[in-house]
Amino acid sequence: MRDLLRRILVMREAGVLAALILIMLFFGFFTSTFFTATNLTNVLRQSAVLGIMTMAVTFLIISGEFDLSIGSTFALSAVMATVMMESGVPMILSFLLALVLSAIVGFLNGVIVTKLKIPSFIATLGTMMIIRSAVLVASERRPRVLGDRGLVACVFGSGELFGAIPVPIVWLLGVVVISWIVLAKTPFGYKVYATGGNIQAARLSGISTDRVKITNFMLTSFAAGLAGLISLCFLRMVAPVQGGGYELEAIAATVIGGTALGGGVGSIFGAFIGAFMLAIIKNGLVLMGTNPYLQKGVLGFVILIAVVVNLRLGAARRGGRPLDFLRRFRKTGRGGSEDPPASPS
Amino acid sequence: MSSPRDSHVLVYEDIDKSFGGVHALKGVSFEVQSGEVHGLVGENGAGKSTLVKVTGGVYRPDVGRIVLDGQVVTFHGPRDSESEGIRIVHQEVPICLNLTVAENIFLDPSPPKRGLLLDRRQMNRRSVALLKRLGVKLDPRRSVGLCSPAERQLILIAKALAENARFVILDEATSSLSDAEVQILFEVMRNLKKHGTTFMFVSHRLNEVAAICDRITVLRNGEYIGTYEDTDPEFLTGKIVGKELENVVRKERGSHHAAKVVLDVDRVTQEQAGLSDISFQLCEGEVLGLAGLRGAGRTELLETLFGLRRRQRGTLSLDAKRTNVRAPRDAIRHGIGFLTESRNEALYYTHSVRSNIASVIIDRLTRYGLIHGRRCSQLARTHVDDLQIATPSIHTEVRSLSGGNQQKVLLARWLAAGPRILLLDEPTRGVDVGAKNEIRKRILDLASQGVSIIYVSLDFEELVQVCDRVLIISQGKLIDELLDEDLTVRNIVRKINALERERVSIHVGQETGDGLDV
Repeated sequence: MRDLLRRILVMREAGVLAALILIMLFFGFFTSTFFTATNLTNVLRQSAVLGIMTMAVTFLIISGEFDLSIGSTFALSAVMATVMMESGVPMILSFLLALVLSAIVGFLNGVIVTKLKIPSFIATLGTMMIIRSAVLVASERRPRVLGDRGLVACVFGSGELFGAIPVPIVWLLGVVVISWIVLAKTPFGYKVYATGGNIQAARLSGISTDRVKITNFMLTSFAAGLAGLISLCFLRMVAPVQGGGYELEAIAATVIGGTALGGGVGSIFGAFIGAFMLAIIKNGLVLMGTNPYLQKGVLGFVILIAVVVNLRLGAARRGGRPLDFLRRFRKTGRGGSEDPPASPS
Repeated sequence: MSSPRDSHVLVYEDIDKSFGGVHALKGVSFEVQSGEVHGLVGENGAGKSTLVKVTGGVYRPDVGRIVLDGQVVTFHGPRDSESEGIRIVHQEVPICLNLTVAENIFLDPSPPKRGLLLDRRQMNRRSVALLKRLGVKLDPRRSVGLCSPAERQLILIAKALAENARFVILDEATSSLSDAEVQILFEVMRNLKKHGTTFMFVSHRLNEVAAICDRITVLRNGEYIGTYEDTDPEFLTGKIVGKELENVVRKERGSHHAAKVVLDVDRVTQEQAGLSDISFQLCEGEVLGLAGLRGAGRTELLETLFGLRRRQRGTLSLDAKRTNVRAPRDAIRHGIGFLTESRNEALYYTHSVRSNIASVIIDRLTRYGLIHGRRCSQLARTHVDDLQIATPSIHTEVRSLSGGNQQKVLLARWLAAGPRILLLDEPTRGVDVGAKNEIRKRILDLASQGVSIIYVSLDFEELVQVCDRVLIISQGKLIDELLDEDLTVRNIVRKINALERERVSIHVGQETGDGLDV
């Protein structure tokens, strides 16, 4: 029992998982509809678009960069797909081209950041505005509607697996599983952690850090493009201003899940919980009938609390001062370390 | 304990400190006398840093007390310690490179002001006066970024004086200085000693401790071993380690004239690093030393060979084949490894020992494209056992290991890669005596297995002990070669001194060049 407790406590995601459970219990207690299969499916479906982007953003943040342009890329992909279809390109082809276009955007972001050595905050702030502008021009400032209801639309968003599970959920879970395997189990994932953990060390170990970062920028934009298409198929339309704000929500979800903004630390599981938590809170507040203007504020509080708790738990895991009682669960000997691991400041 | 005599500035009485399960200091008691340079030595983990931090008010002792000038003092934080005139100069110099010398000196004590504005003229004037007390001529308006490491160290001491320090602790303050620079620092310390400043000198370098200290206190495993006036390094080593040291078995200094040339460096020039026309050959199984002062181009040369710097001219040939090394990746592919001087640059502190060891060959530790966890663990365990890395487990984050063990982890990383050529930059810097010997021994083992090694160190004794041949580098040029019976510390020092004498930019009252002979 004690061992189990210890293992859960030293898990990086322990804090956010506990918080998620508490929040779900809270909404379950105060609303009668929260814990129904329909509602939970609904929440998961709503979290799909953000969740898919969050997975890729997690890669990017762990490697030490971030991307403010994904909200714009999201809209770009959906709008360009509809524009191409209207000019007679087959649906499947226009979807593929939209995804390629998204990946190219990511490639450019990556090259600007790594080769021109511009901080990603500035670089992607610039591309965010440029792409949004392009979307507004291409869409002629009006919402684009997806008329097609064929197989492609079905596969990308409007269908339901076994007649019960909305397709976006399948996409989300697929992306989560693949991301988890790649990040935790492959040499590429290792290099992502190494690049963000200590970029000089990574270079000295023979890792091409620029290539790692560019790949992550491409993954991120690709995921944004994919999310855009899924949203397009599900909602059957896209507004040219859609997607604004996703970039920050994805960062928030990642950070809630325990990823350090400085890079090198984080996990897919945590980020998934983070994205799910954001969806739960939005959903729960609606069910409780709270003033919709309060939603953002509540989310803000959750983000701040999550970051503080993660930092504290992180310090405790390393044997620091906060929550000193946790030390009893750790089997540390005298590791011959001159400085005790705690670094009081 | 009875009240201390007047000559004791600082008395430690039964200082005891634990961190969780780690008992860092076990009832340490000793006295530091007024106006002496008091050495503090011990292996990593002996408790030196903890004691320094207790003195500096960073930690509070669990048991015991500090008596300062006959009065018991309790420090609630660094501020309290500072207000009693205690100053600590650390290994890593906390200095703002963008500011001038004077601005750094007055960073902490509030700078002189005229109304709301800074009084720069007075600041500069007072800085000059302070530096003069140290016997140092430095322009107070100079940007610290342009100063040498020794000058920065001296600026910190000047800063301590500006705050009226009477008890200065130098915590590994010389580890980034060259011998000539250390001599300058010592000259300054001797000057200040005459004026009544008391020093505590914490260092791994026993030669330096012997040269500057009046009395030396030895700590081992958090226990006080004794305070000695005998400064003989061999004697101290015995006390520090507590057992007879296994001497490094020096293999016969090999003659590699007949051996196969593994690396041929031909007229390599790298302008940013100031390297020009570097040519030499490295043979199979040879340990080639590279001696020179800081800034002479030693590290830069290794970085160029490893592909971290792009060379403008010249060629590298491996096994008589022209090779293009454009990035570390290429170097690694050709079997070159590089142990950097700075551990910060090379370690993933938040990652496990296992992950750090596997980092170079992670692509090879896979099955079906996925990382093979068991093989990573096996690899890590083998090396942890082999190098006797003291770690609770292979999953421990490396940041909680001591410096010597971190260094061994880095060495293990390259051993795991199985290199043919290993570039070592200060592989034993800031490492305790025991680990130092183990690392040296392991390196000699490698050489005897046919690995070729380039060895950079400021510890010339170490070079003489380990190397088959030593090249002297100065101002980016290779200027001499020492081998066979010519390879002695005295000769290395002489060669370097002859070239560097006119370059030492800080002028101290007397000629310090001859003091270099160890």
